[in-house]
Amino acid sequence: MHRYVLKRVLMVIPIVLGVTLLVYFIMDLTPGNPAMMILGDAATQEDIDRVNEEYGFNKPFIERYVSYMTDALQGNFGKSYVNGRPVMVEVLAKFPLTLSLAFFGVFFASLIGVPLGIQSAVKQYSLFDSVSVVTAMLLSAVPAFWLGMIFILLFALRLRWLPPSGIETWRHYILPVATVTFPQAASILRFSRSTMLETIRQDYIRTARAKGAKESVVIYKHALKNALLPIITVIGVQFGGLLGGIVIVESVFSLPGMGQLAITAIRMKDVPQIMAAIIFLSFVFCLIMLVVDLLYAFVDPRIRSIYSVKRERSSHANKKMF
Amino acid sequence: MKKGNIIEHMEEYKMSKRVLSCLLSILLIISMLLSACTSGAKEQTTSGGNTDKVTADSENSEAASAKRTDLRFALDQEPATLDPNFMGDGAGFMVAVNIYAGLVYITDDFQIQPDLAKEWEISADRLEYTFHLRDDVTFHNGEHFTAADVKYSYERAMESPYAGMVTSNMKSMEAVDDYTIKITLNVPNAAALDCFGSTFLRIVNQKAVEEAGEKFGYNPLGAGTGPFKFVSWTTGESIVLTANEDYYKGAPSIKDVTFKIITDYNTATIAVETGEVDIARIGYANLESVQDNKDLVIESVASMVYDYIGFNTTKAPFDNPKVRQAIAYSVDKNELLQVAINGETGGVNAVIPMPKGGFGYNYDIELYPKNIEKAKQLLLEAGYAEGFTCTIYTPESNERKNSAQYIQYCLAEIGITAQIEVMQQAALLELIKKGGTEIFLMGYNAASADADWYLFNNYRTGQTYNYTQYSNPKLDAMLDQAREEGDNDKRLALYQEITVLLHEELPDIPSFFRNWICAHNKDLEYKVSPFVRNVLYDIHWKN
Repeated sequence: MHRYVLKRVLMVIPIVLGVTLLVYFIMDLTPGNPAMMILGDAATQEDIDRVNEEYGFNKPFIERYVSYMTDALQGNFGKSYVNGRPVMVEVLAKFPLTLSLAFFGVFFASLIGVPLGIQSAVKQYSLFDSVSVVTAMLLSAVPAFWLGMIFILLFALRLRWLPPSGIETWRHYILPVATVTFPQAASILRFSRSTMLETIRQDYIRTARAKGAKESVVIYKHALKNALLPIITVIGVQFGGLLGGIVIVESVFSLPGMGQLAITAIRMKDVPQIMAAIIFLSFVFCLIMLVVDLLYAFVDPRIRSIYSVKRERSSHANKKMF
Repeated sequence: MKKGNIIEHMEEYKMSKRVLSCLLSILLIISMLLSACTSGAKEQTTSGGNTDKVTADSENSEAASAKRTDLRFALDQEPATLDPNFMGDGAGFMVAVNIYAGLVYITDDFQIQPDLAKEWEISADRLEYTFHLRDDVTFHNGEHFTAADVKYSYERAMESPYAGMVTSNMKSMEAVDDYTIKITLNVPNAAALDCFGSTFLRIVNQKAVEEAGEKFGYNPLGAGTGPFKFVSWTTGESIVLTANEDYYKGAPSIKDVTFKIITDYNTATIAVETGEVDIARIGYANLESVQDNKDLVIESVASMVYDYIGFNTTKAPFDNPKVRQAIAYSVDKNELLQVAINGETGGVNAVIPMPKGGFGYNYDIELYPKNIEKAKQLLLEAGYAEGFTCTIYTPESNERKNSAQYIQYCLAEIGITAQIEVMQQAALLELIKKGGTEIFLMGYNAASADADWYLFNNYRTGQTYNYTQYSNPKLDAMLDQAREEGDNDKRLALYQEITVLLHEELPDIPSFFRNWICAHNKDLEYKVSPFVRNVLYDIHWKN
């Protein structure tokens, strides 16, 4: 098991490196002079030349990338071109909000989506199934900004129950979390339903039924346990994706999160800020995937046994040597 | 071993089931609590009725009978910095004018008023400006304000790439004594006082700047002398200011100010409608939704920001004034206004490239009317009877993209086939400066309404904002003369000539001045400034 974890942790390194190279390269391809970003559009050519020299913007791509990565590996991610603030401090300040939105969003989405999806599968073609499948399809088709605006119009403007924007109290969280939750719940529901449908058609389910097990036992003990594996993966991927992809919700509700930070930085071509945000996000994404895989191993004894057997074998081998 | 594993696994399974049921019951409790809370809030709203808009904040609804002293202001953009000398963006000006004061001050009707300087003398050759400073001003950090601070701040601004427009003509400054400063210019400038009143030349305290070091831009504690002190800035969220009780004109009536950063106009509009914020700049598109709201007052004023259709005057066929005039004749300015910013709601036609009311404005010039025949005739004279193909470059904003499409349609009517290329603002600026464009859509904003600020910076050869790269020695000489002229009547006459010349030459076609539209709480005394600023000192809650 430790080997498995170690292997996965080591995988993070090439992934993050690859992501940084890709993003740095894309930022290099997009037009726009970083010196002008720093100096503003009133800057003279002399000022621009001086900044180009000072920051090394006129050096070749590889040289700039290597020097950036050398600094970054030493924990020095630099300062924003736009506002001069240390970029990693900004990222760490914005992350908790995005994390909590994504977490609560996925948490509630799972609580709604998984049970409803399973019920839909068990009662396939029933009224319940049709209603939940159609609702889920509608909700996954609805764009987040639209849903967010509708929530604001309804709950903030018409009913005046909840605040429309900003983050001050827990009440400010309700609408953004709901906006994240519903489309996610819809896709989790659809996925849970199809996975469950596949599972209950398996031979071992028929066997379980044949041996006279109660229907609830068949579903919740035999089928759910197996259906849960892909569902966990999907939930994990959604959670990771939300950390970077929640930007629309953040911008509709005017929340200072990671997505807003990254998008503003991209618009301003604030390379250090973009890089810090992307490095951090890809790192966290890898960690989440690692946790998902560990959960997978926890739920699926087959995976665990592969590594346990290996360990046993290797310990046998060690013993033989002595 | 294997058997043990299975038992272990079943135990785990039971455990996870227990955990799940625990979670579910917690969820149930939470949801019950939530529904209880929300229905409570609902009752509060219905009992309070529509007059009490601040139900979100129980403290405020309790104090609704008393006069409020706090203010929540929606800021449509996050400032890059709050260092006035190194500031280039509008959002920064909106906040900074409240923290820092300058030697003089430009009112909303474009008059120069004394601020930190009580009075001033201008030497006969109009190169030396001697300011006599107030002796009763302290900075927010308790330091006493003297001429040394003016010298420090002005020298700081001279280093700044943003402030070049106001500092390039400054030669030196000398603190004659503690309360007298003498500023020497390179050449006389009739609009010099407007420069001294600009946001770039607001006074900061050296000790405060040095104590903050690199953090000064985003944590400018104690550096200003203005009516409000900086308290804190949470990026993406808010900037908090508090009243300066020792302000030399007297303590402001608003005590606590929160600038809430809401970059989306729709969200800002809803925030002001629900009372989350008291004042919000709203887009012309949101005007309709708030017009009938009895709790809000809508204010609209023609701003100092204008949009124009620029030509790369170094490149054929746009180097030919006849081609530029032909294009001007092909565009109906009222339709353009309608298409771009919803007509009079969003702004006013720009006849010449400076605002009405500014010194030097020429009221005799009229808009180019739409006249296809005339346009075709001009193209024929210029040798382009068959038309030509070209590209219209526009930044990503909706207003400019819509304008580009309308202009494309107008050009087609006179035989010019135009493509539209949408670019990021920064990238487009780079291309413009390199001379890589043909027709482009840009805008300009000045901190003073004086003709010099609009015409010199935009049309004199080699100026930073001369994006059309227009160069005309005759115009340059006139602009220099007008800038240096001491006699107001002669200066006015010069600008009348200059504006006529520009109207014929058309390095760019001014399209419209945008309106600043604000929605605010009806209990608030507030006037929108045509400048990009918000002077909170003038805002009061009505009783």
